[in-house]
Amino acid sequence: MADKGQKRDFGAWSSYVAIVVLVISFSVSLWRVYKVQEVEQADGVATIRVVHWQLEAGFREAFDDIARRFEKAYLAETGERVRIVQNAISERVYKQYVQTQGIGKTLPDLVQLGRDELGSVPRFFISNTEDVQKPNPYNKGTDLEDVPWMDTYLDGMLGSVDQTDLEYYGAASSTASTRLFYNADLLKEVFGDIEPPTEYRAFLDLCARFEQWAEEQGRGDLTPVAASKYQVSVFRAMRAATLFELMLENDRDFDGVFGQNDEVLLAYAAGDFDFHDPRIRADEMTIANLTQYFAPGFMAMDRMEAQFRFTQGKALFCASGSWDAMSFDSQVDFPMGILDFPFPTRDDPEFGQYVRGRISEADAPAVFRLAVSKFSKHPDLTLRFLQFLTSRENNQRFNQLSRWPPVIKGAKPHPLMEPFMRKPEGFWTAEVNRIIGAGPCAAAYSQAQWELVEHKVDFDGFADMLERDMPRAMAQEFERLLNNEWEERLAQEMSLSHQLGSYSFGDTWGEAAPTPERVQSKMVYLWEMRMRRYRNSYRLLEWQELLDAGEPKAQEIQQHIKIDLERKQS
Amino acid sequence: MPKYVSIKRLTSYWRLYLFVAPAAVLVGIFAYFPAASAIYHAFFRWNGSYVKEFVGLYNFHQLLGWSPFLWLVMVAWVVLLMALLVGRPMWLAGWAPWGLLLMVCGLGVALFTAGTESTVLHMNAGEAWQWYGRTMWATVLGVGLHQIVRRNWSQVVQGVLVLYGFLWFYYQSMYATGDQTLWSGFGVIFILVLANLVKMVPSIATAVVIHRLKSERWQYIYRVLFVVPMIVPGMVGLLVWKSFFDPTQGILNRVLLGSGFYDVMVWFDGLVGWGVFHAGSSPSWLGDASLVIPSLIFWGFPWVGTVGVLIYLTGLAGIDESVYEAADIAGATSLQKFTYIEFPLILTQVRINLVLMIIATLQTYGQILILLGDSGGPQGVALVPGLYMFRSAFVELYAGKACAIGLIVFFFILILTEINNRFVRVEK
Amino acid sequence: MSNFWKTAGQHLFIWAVLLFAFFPLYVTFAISVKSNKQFNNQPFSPLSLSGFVETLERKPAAPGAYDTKETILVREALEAGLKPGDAGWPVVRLSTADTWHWENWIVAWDTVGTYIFNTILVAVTAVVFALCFSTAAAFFFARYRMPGATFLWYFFLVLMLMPGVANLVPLFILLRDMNLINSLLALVIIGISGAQVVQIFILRNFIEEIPQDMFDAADVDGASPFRQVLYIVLPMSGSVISTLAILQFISVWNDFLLPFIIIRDDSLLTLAAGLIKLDGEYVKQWGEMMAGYSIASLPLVLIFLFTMRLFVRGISAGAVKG
Repeated sequence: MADKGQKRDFGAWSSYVAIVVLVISFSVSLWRVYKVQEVEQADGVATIRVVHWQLEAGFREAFDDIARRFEKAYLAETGERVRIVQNAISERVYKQYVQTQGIGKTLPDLVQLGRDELGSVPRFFISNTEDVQKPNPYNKGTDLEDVPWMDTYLDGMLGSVDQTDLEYYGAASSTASTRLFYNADLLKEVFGDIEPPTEYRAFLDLCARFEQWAEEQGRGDLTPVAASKYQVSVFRAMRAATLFELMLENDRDFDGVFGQNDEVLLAYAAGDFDFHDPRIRADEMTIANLTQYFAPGFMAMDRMEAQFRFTQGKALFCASGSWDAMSFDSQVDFPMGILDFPFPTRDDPEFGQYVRGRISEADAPAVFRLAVSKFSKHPDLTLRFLQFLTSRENNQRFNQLSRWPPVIKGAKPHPLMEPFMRKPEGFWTAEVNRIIGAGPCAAAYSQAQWELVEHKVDFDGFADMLERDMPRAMAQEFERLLNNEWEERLAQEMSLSHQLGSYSFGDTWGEAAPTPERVQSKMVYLWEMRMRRYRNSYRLLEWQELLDAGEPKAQEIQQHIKIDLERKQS
Repeated sequence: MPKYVSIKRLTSYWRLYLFVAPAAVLVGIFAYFPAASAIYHAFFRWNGSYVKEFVGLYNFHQLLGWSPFLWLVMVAWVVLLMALLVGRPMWLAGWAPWGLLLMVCGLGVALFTAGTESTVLHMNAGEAWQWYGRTMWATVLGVGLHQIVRRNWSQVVQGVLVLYGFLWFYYQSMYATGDQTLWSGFGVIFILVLANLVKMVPSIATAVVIHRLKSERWQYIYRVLFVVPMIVPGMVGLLVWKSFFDPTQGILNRVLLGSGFYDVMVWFDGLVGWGVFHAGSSPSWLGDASLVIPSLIFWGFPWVGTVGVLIYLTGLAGIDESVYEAADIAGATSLQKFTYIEFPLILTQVRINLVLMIIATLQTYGQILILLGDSGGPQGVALVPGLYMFRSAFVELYAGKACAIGLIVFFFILILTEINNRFVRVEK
Repeated sequence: MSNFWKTAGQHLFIWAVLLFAFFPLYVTFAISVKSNKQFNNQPFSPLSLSGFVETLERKPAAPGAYDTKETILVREALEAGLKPGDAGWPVVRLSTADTWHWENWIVAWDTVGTYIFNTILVAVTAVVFALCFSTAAAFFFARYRMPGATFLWYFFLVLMLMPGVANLVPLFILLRDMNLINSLLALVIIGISGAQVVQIFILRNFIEEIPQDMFDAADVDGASPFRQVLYIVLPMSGSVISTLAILQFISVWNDFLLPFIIIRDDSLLTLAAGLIKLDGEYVKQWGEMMAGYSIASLPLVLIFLFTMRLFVRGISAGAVKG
């Protein structure tokens, strides 16, 4: 307290000013908050809150446009007022936001789904299975008037089915696909008036020539392809269906899917396939051949960095999804072209014999899927808005504004989006690392893949790495599978009993009770799933057989399991 | 002198309780209740709402692993700590160990029931009894230790225990049978604590330099100036620094590339063989798993905490001018002045700051959540325990597990606070 | 002579440190008036003063202009089949390499303004109530020994040991069950209860040091305890209370975790939590983002200008108590 006296007078004076400032700002705040809340909670106006993570350029404006149109249309229709408020949350915290608000029972009315909700969809959202079987009222007057809502979708609304209880939740507004972007100015500058390549070898050749040109011109800052780790995964869409046969051969339970369970493990342990397989080689080399034209150290780069290089005109090509097209378009000041990927063909000198054809996009995801939350105060109104958004007319408008590919049959995309429309013809394939499970196997796989695309090892080195690391990873995977078996079975059984309950006590369930037919078909499915699980358990017997027969790989894996167990015991 | 009010006179004085009531009620509801609830729910499989099932120690088993050695140490620690904490008021000191013994007996019964009744514990009755026996032995050990502590061998014993604890931690992080994520999170914390230790130096240096200025006026001006960065909202500082780290447009990369220092780094990288820095691309500081922790350490360069500077200045203010004059006459160098005059005076502050820093670092996760998201950055390298708790609760919906993680972190903090109270504050 | 150099060296060192400490602030402000293109070309150097006042002159967009946005507008217009001079040809504001884009501040204010008002509301309310409660409780502990007071004292003291980290989940559930999710009231209440322990602890020590004579005199006059607080404690401990007020104000102002978790609506977010949203943009508008940060920093700076002394003393003192 040394500073009494003169200073104190000034101090007291300035403190009073501070207090006055505080009081004034406090009053202003009070008034402002009151005003805002008054608008937010106005009587007679239903508020529908929408939350999503699409922060891409132009998307929110497009959504706002549709929202305002719905408000007007609804007022004209019923004379009641409605207000639609969108809230865009960064992708990084989106999942946490939804889960938190879900537990807090304050989830907004419409919520975008698609960030692995972990079975919480039936818990937090209202199923609209009944509604998707009826026509969309906003398609009145078009040829879709009598078509069930689900059939107006390009994908038959398959993207809205939730796997936990096989109900439809929400509806999507767009699709998505990945394509190749190129800088038309740069292409013209280097090669004159040529058509961009449509075939794999021509594409590689072009990249090589571009690199040579850049070197001659002393333009060290130019690379043929702007890429990062993210773009490597995008470029995986460029592969041809070379794994098709491999999967058919090893699909032990004939369910058309190879993987996600111990059938891969058994196939590998039985020696039915190994990682030196020429088909896996073809699959991996498609990308590895290309990565030599990426900037050095691309695996350490950020997705945004690669895209920034492209938009700054420092690269000829860049690969990304339809969701980036608008952002690219709003950032580049050169004419930008969009191409389908140049796929390897059957006459490819290196691995043409394994090429079946291009990969089909029939399973291209339906995106921007919004679902009505259970905590919504106006579920019917919210659903109505969803139907408005996905009527052909509005879907076309919305997707043209936001520059996304539309998902409703007959809705025309924006010219920029035309190259992105789905190409359903072709074959299916899968990621090898995807089929061997999500845990330690995938980690071992991506480690080896990393070395391969950075050309630290050749394919044989890559396969050797996998042959070395896989048995151990598979042993861990095996244990994990057995543990998960228990958890998953529990979830399925719970789902089954829930369905049974709603079937038997439909009255008490209220309007949410499903029809008997639906419950029956679902119970058949769930029973099927259950039997498959038991079959999986039976396959343990096959495992024993493999061990008895002395299969080398099986014994290697068994060795690792033993080591793990002993470590746990100690 | 406070006025003593006996129970008889309460009739005329009871209104005084109204003075403390609002604070007590608020604290009771919003601080005590959640804390109690956290302890309670750590023994449950709980998702925050309808799933709630008693699972005994399952969460802790999952997190800490199964090694008997480890559990022995754990229990001994808990018992000792409780004894230390409770041992403060003398009338309780005698009772505490026996009360604990009783608690452990109860625990044994609970364990036994859980083991036989529930499959979640992965135990049969025999095993449960085995564990019960071990726990009993550990308790006896703990009570014994408590007796030693009471006879004031505490310093030695505590030293040994801290060492034991570190060994345990090391063992756990190397051969963990528990939750690898949690232990690697503690590993990250350990690195961050070491880094923060070094980061304390610039603040001390700055404070000393300011203090040595002869002019009172300048000292005041500098003090004021050092407050300014402090009143900028922490979030702004955080986000601005985040933008510095932006790979394409961030200032850090622009300086590195523009000054050519990056070439040196690439060259050095080639020499050592990290494979982190490459010519022709700029490092993505927060996007590359091997760069995340270094980025967090580099954070806030040159690490002059404005609060820290002010604290040290307050400590230094006690030095009389004549001491300096005497030192000058004796021909002391400025380093000698620091080691013999200034450092001893701020030692208390340094110690307090040290402990507070460690406690704060243990709890830290908000910053990492904002910078790297709830997954703890690429490959989850920065998934510190606090963030892991947050993630378990609000992303994966394992609220029970989250409470258990919180308790484990709390346990570490309790130990540090105890160390703080015993060794640091006394010498004021 | 050497003394002069020594002092100069000391000053130089401090200024160097200050330079670093202020650098983020400077960068924030410098970028806040730049367009993305300006930022890409010269990220930290300030714009020249010639463009300080924005020109309001508008002109038809021209290809090859400085601004990327303008080039794109021209391209789109050409694609739409327009020619320069047509009716629908885009008109833009004159933009050069030196134009200060003050409109960034306007755009940023639209988002950050609401957050600031919410935060002021929460912070002021929380501080006022917290100090009322804690002063009363501290008076209770300092001047009287009521039955049960010791128990209550330890009741508060033990809380100092408890870290917030373990309580977050149950606290969230508690707030949900009280229907306080997504409301500013929750932030106020937690702000009040969170500050109690430390404030009571400090205020008790302070009130105990007030001479007993004053309270005795008041008792003789028949003043009730409430009046004693009002007329003795408050005037005597004004500086401590204002220091505590400032410390709590800063901490509420900076708190982001709780609002981040419990606030759902954009219109109710507080500043620290709201700023996170500015950062999430996909194509970053650096100018607007930094303008938002600048606006967010201003209120506290304003308060600081008037209460500099309290701040400096408060932070030094607040830090010592540890």
